[in-house]
This record gives sequence, C-alpha cells and structure tokens, in this order.
Amino acid sequence: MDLDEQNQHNTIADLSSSYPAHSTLISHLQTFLTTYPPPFIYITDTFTPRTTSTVLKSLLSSLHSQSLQPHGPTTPLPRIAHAWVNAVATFNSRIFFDTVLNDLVGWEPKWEDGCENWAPEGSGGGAGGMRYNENLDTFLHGLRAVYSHLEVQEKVEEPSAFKAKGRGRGRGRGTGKGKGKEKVEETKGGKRDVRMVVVVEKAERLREALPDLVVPLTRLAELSRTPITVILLSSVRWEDIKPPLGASSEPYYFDVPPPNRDSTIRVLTAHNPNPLYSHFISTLYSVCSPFTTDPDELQYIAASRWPAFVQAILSEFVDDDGGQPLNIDDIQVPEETRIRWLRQFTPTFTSALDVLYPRIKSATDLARPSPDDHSVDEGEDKKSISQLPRMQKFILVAAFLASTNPAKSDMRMFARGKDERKRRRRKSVNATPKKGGGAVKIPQRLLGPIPFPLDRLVAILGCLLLENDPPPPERAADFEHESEYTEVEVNRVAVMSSITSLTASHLLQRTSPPDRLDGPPMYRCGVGYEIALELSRDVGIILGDLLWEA
Amino acid sequence: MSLDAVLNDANQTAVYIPFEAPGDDNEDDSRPELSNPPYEDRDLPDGFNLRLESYRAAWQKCLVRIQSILHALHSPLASEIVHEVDDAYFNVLPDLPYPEIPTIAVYCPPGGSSLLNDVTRVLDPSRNRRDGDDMDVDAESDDEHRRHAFIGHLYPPECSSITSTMKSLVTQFVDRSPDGLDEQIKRKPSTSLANFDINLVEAWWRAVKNAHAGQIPPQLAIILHDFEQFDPSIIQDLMYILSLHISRLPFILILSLSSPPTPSYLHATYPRSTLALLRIRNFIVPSGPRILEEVFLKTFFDLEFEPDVMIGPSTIEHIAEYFFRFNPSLDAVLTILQLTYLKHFDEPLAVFIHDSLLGTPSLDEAYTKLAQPSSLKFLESLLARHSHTPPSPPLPTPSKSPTKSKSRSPPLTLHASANEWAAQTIPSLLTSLDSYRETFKSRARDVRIGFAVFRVVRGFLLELGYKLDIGKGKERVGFEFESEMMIKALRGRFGREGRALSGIVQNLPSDHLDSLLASLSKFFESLAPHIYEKEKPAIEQVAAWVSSLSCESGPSSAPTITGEFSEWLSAYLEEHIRNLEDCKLCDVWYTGSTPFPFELINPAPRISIISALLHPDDYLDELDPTAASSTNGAVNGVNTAQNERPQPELPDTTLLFKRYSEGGKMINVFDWFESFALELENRKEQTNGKSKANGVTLVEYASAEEVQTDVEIEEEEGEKWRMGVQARFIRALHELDYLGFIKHTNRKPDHILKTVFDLAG
Repeated sequence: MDLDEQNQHNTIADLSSSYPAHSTLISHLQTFLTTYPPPFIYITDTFTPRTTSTVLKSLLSSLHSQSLQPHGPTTPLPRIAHAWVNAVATFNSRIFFDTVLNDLVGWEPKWEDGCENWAPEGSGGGAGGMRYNENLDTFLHGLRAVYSHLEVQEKVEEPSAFKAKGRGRGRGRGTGKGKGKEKVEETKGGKRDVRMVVVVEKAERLREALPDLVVPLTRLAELSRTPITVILLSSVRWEDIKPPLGASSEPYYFDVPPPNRDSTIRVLTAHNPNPLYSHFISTLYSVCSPFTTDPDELQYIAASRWPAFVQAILSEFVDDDGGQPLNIDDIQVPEETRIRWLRQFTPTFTSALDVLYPRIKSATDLARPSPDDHSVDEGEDKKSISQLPRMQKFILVAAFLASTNPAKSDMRMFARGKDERKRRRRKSVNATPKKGGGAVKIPQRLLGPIPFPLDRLVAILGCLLLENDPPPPERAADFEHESEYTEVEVNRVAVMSSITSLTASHLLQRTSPPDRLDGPPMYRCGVGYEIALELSRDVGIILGDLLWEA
Repeated sequence: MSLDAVLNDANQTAVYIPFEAPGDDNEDDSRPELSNPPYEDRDLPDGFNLRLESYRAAWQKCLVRIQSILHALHSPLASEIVHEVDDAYFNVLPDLPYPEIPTIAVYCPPGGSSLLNDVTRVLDPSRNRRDGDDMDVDAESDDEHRRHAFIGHLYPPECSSITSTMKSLVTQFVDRSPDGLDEQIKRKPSTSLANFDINLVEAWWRAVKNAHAGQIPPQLAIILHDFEQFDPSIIQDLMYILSLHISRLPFILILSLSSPPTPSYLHATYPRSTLALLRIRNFIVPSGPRILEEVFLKTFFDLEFEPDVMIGPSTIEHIAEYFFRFNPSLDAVLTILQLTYLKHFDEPLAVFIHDSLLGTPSLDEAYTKLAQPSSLKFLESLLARHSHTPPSPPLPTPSKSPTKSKSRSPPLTLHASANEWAAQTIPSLLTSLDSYRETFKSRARDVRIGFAVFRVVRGFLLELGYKLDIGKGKERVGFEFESEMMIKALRGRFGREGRALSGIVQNLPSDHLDSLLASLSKFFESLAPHIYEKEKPAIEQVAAWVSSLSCESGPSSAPTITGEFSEWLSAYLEEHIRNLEDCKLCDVWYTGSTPFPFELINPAPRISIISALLHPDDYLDELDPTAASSTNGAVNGVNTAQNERPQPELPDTTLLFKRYSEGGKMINVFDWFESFALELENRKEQTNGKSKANGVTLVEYASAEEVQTDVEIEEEEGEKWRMGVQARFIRALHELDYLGFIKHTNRKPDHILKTVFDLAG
C-alpha cells in the first residue's frame, strides 16, 4: 500500500476510533465518496448534531487532502471538492449560492479585489464574470462551471516539467486559480474523476429560510448534470421536512445512534491523554449522565472543574517539592490521592451542573471566581427587584393575581361591601380525586399565567391600593371618599407608563399585538409566585388571602 | 377646494382635515391665546426673553453639574466594561467544547444611561474623533495601552428580519476602511459578496489584520441597544451565525438591558441552545436612591457648587415621592427639575437672578430702562416686594402686597410722581438688589455648610453605632431620610435634629470625641478658601479643642470639652440652618415652597374627561362663550351665544353622557337616541318660546303620520330638524366611542356595553 494512502487511512481510522458512535457513518461515507456516491444523502442525528458535523468536516477535509496527494497509478482516487453551508447562516438564496460555489473551488474572496466571487478565468476572471448567484438556473450554470474548472485544474496544474513541455491539454481556457494545491499528480489519460459534495447543516431550517430550494437540492446532480452529492445533516427526520407532492427524490438515509458511555468518554478524553483526566471524566460522566449525556455539556462542566481539580492535586505535591509549581502531566498521581480528591469533587459536579447547564453562570466564571465578581448573586437579586418603585410593585402583584385567579372570582375576592370587610370565600383545594375518577384540578399557579385585559388589572390595582396604600393626608382632603382618590390614582398617566415600562422589561408580557386598537390590551404576568410574594411583602399585602387557590 | 380634491382622491391613504371652528372667519383673531406668559401685566417689555436667557444659563449650569456627577459615578463601571472588552479573548478557559461569544450584559435601569456612550467613546476613539466628539480625555490618554475596538450598533427598529439585521451589522463594519485610510474599495454589487453576508466581514477582517500586522488588531464589539425590544427569534439566529465565525472574527456582544437582573430576561426568553453559545458577564449600572442622593447632595448641597436657582422643600418632596412611587429614573428627576426651573422663571422678578442689569450693558442703562413708562408695572411690583418684609408669600401679586416699611410709596401713588421717584429710588433699588443677592447666596451657603457639618457628625455617630432619634422612617440612611433632612434644613426647622445630635455628643467618651473633632477639623480643612475664611472662628474653636484634648489627654478636661462642644454644635447648626425664605426677595433665587405643578407630570386624563363631561360648565366657562358652544361642532345649528344662561346649553356629548351615566350595564341605542332627541326638542321649544305641551315624546315626534298632519313648511322643517338631531346623536355617540366609553357587543342587537360605572354625580 502506498505510504500516503496508508496515512490517510490512518487519519480516517483515528477519526473512527475517536468517535466510535460515528464509525459506521465514517466508513460508509468514505466508501461512497471515494467510489460512486448517491446524489442525495440524509443524515439524522437527534442527539449530538454538533459532534456529527465535526466528524463530517474532518472526514471531508481528510478526503479532500487525500485526493490532492500524489499517489500511484494503480489507485486513482477521485478528487473531492466540498462545500459546507449552514442553513441558519444562509438565510438568503444568494448567500447559499455564493457560499457553495466559493467553497467548492476553495475560493477566498479578497477585500482588495472588492470581495469578488469566484468566476471562471475565461469569463474575465473574478471581475465582470458571469453572475451565478441570481437564481437557481444561474447557480446550476455555476456548478457546471465549477465542475469544468476543477477538471481543467487537474489537467493544467501539473508538475512544472510537464508544463514546460506543453503536455497539458490546452483547450483555450485560462489557467485555474489553484489555491493551495501545490501538488497535483498526472493522471493516466488526463481524465480524473471529480466529486463535488455539498453539506447542508441544520437542514431543517431550509424549509423556513429557503423553501424553494429544498426540491432542487435533492435533485442537484440531475439538474446540474455533474457528479454532485448533497448531504443534508439535521436533527429531525426527513419525513418532517420533506416537501409535499413527492417532488423531491428519496435520499440515502443515515441515522446516527445515540452515544453510549464509552464513546462519549472517548470523545471527551480525546484532547487530553492524561490518565488522570480520563478518570476525572468517567467520574463526571457517572455523576452527570442521569441529567445530560450531551458531550458538549459534559465537556463544558469538565472544563470548569478540571483546573480546580488539578490545582487541588498539585497542592499536595507543591509542598513536597519545595513550592515549585508542577505540571500535572509530569507527575504520577497515586491512586489513593486521586480517589480521595475525586470523591471530594463529586458534589461540585452536581452543583456545577445546576449552574452551568441552564447557563446561570459561565464555566469561566465558575472556574475562576474573581473577587469583583459581577455575576448576579443572591443579595443583588433581591435588591434589584425590591428597587422597583412602589407603584410598579403594586402593579406586578395585581398582575400576578389577575394571572392566577379566575376572572369570575374577582367579585368575591376584591369586592368590599358597605360594612367593614367582605367575606372571602376561598375554594378549598384538596387534591383528593373525585370518586368518578375525574382529573385532579391543577392549580393555575402551576399551569402558568392566564392573560387578562388591562381593565381588569387596573381594577384589581385599585382594590389593592384602596386597602394597602392610604392617601397622604394633604391630598385625601380633596376627596370625599378614599375610593375616589384611588380611582383618580389608578388612572394617572404614571400608572399607565409604569405598566408600559414593566412590559418593556418583560416583567409583564403583552399578549395582544401592539397595533390592535380594538378592545383593551391583554397582558400576562411575567413574574412567578416567589417574586410576587416578595413584592407583596414589600408593600404590605398578604398575598395568600387574595389568592383563589392558595 | 383642495380638501375636497384630496378627499375624493382614491389614491390617498390618509387625509389631514384641519380644524375649523364654526363661524371662524377671522382666522386666528378669535382664538384665545394660550401662549401668553403668566404675570404679563407686571412684566418688562422684553422680560420674557431676558428670563428665557437667564433660564438657559441657570439650567445649563445645573444640568452640566448633574451630568458630570453621573459621569463620575458611571466611570468606574465604564472602565470595567472596557477592561472586560479588552480582555475578552485573553486568558480564555482551556478545553471548552467550542469557543463562546464573549457577551457583556449591561443592566441599566429604564430612563437610559450615558454609560454605553462613555464605553463607546473609550473603545472606539477614531469614530468619535470623526464625529467631532472629543470630550473624553481619558480615552486619549489611554490610547497607547488599549486595544481598540470597532463598534457596531444594532437598534430594534432596523432589525425587523435577519436579513436587515445582518445588513446593518455587516455594513457598519465594512464601511470602515481596514487600514484607517478613508479609501473605499469599490465592490460590484452583483458579482461580489452580498452586503448581508458575514463572509464579507471575514474578508474585510483579513484585510484589517494585514493592515495591523505586528500589532494587536482591534476587536469587533456589537452593542445591542434596548435588547428587550428585539425579536428573540432574529437574535437567536444572529447569535448562531456569529458563533459559527467566532473562531475567526473576534466578536463581542454588549447587550443593553433595562429589565432587572432577576428574573433574568435573557434566561427567560432565550433557549438554552442560544445561551450555550454565549459567555455572559453581567454588569449592573448603579441606580436608585443612592444615585439620586449623590446627585442632590452634590448639586444643591455641595460646598463647591452653587446652583443659580436653589430648589425648595416642596420640589424635593415631590421628586422623592415621584421617584419612589412611580419612576425611579434620573431622566424623570431631571425633567421635574427642569420644569421647576422653567416655572421659576415665570416670575418677572426672576430676571434679577444673575445681575441687576436687566439685559443692558451697564447699571445706568438699567436705570433708564426701568424708568421707562412701559416698565412701570414691573417697577411697581418690584417696589412692592422690596418694601415687603419677609416672611413673604411665595408668589405675591401686586394687589395683595402690604406696604409697611415704606408707607410713602404705595403703588397707586406711584403714577403721579413716577419720574421724580425713579430718579431718586431706582438706582438704590438696583444696588440693594445686588446686596440681597449676596445675602441670599451667603445664607444658602450657610445652610449648606450647616448641613454638611450635620452630615459629618451624624455619619461619624452612625459609624460608631449610635442610634439617632430623628426622621420619620426607620432607616437612618438612604435618600428617603436624606431628603427629609434636606427639607427640614431648607425650612430652617433643624432644632430637633441639632438637639438630638448635641445630646448624643454630650455623652461621648473622650476617645470618640477626639476622633469626631479630628474628622470635623479634617472637613473644615477641605473647605474652599472663601468659605474657610468665613468659618475661621469655628475652625479655630475646633482646632483649640483638638489641641487641648491632645495636650492634656487627661480625663478631667474631656467632659468640659464635650459639654462645650455639644453646646457649640447645637448653636452652630441653629445659626447656620435657617429658613431661606426669610431672605428678602428670596423668590428670585429660590423656588421655596411654591407647589410643584404635579398634574403636569402625572395627570389623570380619564378622570378629567369624565369630570369634564359631567360638569362641562367648570371647563367651558373658562373659555370664550362662543368657543364653549363650538364644542358642539359644526352641525349644531342653534349654538348662538345666550347672554342669560339660566340653564346652560350643554354640549351634545355631555347630554348623551348624562343619559349614559344613568343607564344600566347595557344601553339600548334607540332608547338613548329617543331621550336625546326629547331633550333637544324640549330645549328647542324653550328657546323658541312655543307653547307646546311639555311632554312630547319622541314616539309622537317621530311618527310620520302626525308630522304629516301639520302644515307643509313645518313638515319640511321637522324633517330637517330630525336629520340634524340624528346627525348630532351619531356625532356625539362617536365622540364617546372615541373616548373609550362604549364597548360594542354582538350579543344583543342595538345595544352597547358601558365601560364606566358608578359615576359620581
């Protein structure tokens, strides 16, 4: 076997061994792409799409560089040119076309040339050439141009000795760009296969961003009459994004299996060969795997804890060595020390998972807490919400009540009779299921806030203010009755602007579109029970008494 | 007519119909002038403009001061943010699964903050230099040590789709020349990369890196203003696209959030997959009462700054209330302060705020100006106020002003001997104004010094854990307490506080006394020279105590010194903190207890509308009688002004609203119309003096048979009248609908729902 080929196989074998869960995919694709690939491949990976895309990228670039290597005449490998597009980033067909064509020929637009797209030399080089990004038709022309360019490049970019003799087949086309392709071998008979591969990552987004392009993409080879393979990589199944009416051709399916423990650990330990690290990762995996098995998340947590772990282990060795800082790779950590420290660190994995998985803190902040840490801590939390002005606190409590209590209960909860205090009747909430086996009623608080109209909010606010916010004596004198003062107070501009500013900061959520003029605007409370309780305590409201289902 | 042409034009989507008052042929003449400045009768001829100029100067001085205070308060945080941007790509945690986008979430409370401007100015000095904005000296001095950043701004209105967002972002970066020269490379729009393609930024960035070969290239910071207003789905895509390029393009996101840090808007709105792309660090802009306290103390109670207009206790009270109750933003406070200033300059005498020159170059000319007949009223009021002994009402009118001290110059006799009088008294009047100004300033300074001493002693005692029984609230710190103290100080009612302090001081142990005296003398040392001179006796006294304590250091002398000091402190505070309104003509420099026009800032429009509809007389009487009836609109054919209005003619809308307020939850529109028509019919009969039976019902009126029995002319008139009534009803109904009193329902035909109940009559 040729040396280079062996190297290549080694690289791909390395890739397979680094990503055991993807080994089938790797070997299949390698075989396909180096022989006769199907025109349309669909890869579904629900679990680790990012890893799959990394694997695919490495595979394609190894195949690409492999195809550029000179090799013996017995095993002519087809030249593999590939383009990688992300359906989120290519939100416009023009970007899609530009990216695919530039990528296939390995063209890098230069600022100095005015960021020209690739164009075949014959059409005037970069400047003034054909425009391939206008529509699908021009794109197909572009693909053909790319294909013939790649073919020609094969023939022209021969070793200089051959060039000097004029052995290249001059077909009247100009010299290719030949970016970064230093070595091109001579092929027997001048013909060598070119395979073009277009990978579309996050393919499920194509349906929204470029719906007109999905069907042509599935039939790109027959439309462009070039050996092109389109690989769609997605986390949803083809059935869910398939265009209707059967216009698209059927893909060759690949399903990536979920990663198992061994493969995940191998992926995670790939970049750090230290045996201590693999122990660390395997402990981390066993602690965190009930919650997440995403290699990215696990590596994120590992990145935040590993420096502290190393520091802790090193601290034992520093003393012995007279205070010299050590590299963890240089020392042999006894098993006892390792186990002891891993046991000590186990609880921190869980707490790190709690904080890092929802990204309440970043791994960097967790790994290196600085004295002037600006991340939000508990005290700051409370402070920020209690710094709201008094009226906004009242509004938020009123909004919480309006979102939690059913509208029909308002009369009973808030109406005040002529005499001192009304009788509040609250439905007793006992979770005992009815005899007939009917469903247990779930409290509204657990079901999420219900939307309410502005009028209702203002009315509840009025009741709250009337009972908990006595008017200042100098102003109360202007009114006969306290309720008149409150009536004026809740309809002031400042109250309305407070509602708007709360909406702007999403503590209240407006559910009706802002341009709808008919009817009162609808809102929904954006704060939870704990915060509402906190706020009501601040303004002296007993929240429990006002909740329909306490 | 052009309006008709426009109305008939099918292509017009919106037509502006200008208001035309009925019978308003003389254009603007009949309209009441609303822009007349108050107290015009006793103003100088050019007083308004003079005062406006003085206002501008005074407000500018105050505003610049406040802004510089805010700038000083924000600058530490701004420099931290700048530092964070600088270090965003240094010292990144190793072994992360993928590079994250450094994200800085700046929580600045609503009302805006100049903080991000400061950050931008420091990070991107080249852009600011181009804008001619080179205020920041720090930015220039630190240039050498700092990585610069190219800053792109994204605003919610221009980010309605991902394409427009990317276009805005990409063009902002690539419009800058990579090498700092202003040469722009021409791109062919069709055959080169699209201007919303991030690959364009990448190509540009390679050029930037080449241009900065050997140096650290700048970073690419993107500021997302009003972050809550962006469409989350677009921002998710944006962040995803940025993260795809983050290994090649050093992006840094700066999010400007107005929501509180908890509950976090970011975490509540964006999915984990997006948050996982970011490395978020939070920065919270200082805000709230502490900042307000700082601003007030350093603007109105600072020993080195003297505002032209001192605000009075009632304004402080209102600001504190508005701040705590409604809007804790400094912008609102600034608005209130500005309004207070504006209102202060309504007073004609405020023209003397800076000098007595009345806009003339010299005093002589000012005399002449004041002696002019047109200035007579102004002079009268000035004399009246001059002769008036304090305490004075905040804004006295000339008619009320008593003349005690100068009985020889009552305002009314002034006309007779104006010339003679002027020659003798005006010069002295103007010079005495100068002395009043000085007196006021010195008194205000006294109050500030007294207040500062009070704060020094109080702060010292609080630090030692003493409990001070002053103030209403439980908290002895914070703006609520400080504002209460400020109000008391300005009113000169500081006796209780002074006594409370001296009471505690009296029982201080000698070592505490020593350090208290030391901190007091330190405070006095830091005074500006002119104040230092004035306070020399107090300073010497304190210095004497300090030296005697340190010399003898015996326990025997300490109690006597404590006693002396406590008495001195009480007397000192009493002497310094006196009511500023006792000064003569204080309302030129002091807003005093003038009530703040709170309704201007925080009106209750709905209640006002209801009360106007229920009691239109209160509102209409203030206007011209013809203008009053004009609210009925053009269709009202019988709106002739009635000189005797025993039963004032109510506008149609009011009439309709009266029936509305009497109705139940739902109103039958036909019944409503009937009663409205009846009312109009009655009124018409009263006006015409016809002796028809009173109880004509609309059924009778509306039935066609009876109308036909009448003579033909009456029939025609009746028809016309009926049409008119219907038109007026519909108009009034729509007005109520427009004002939000009507809710349409499909549940019952011909019925509408009321929106307002229990209307107090």
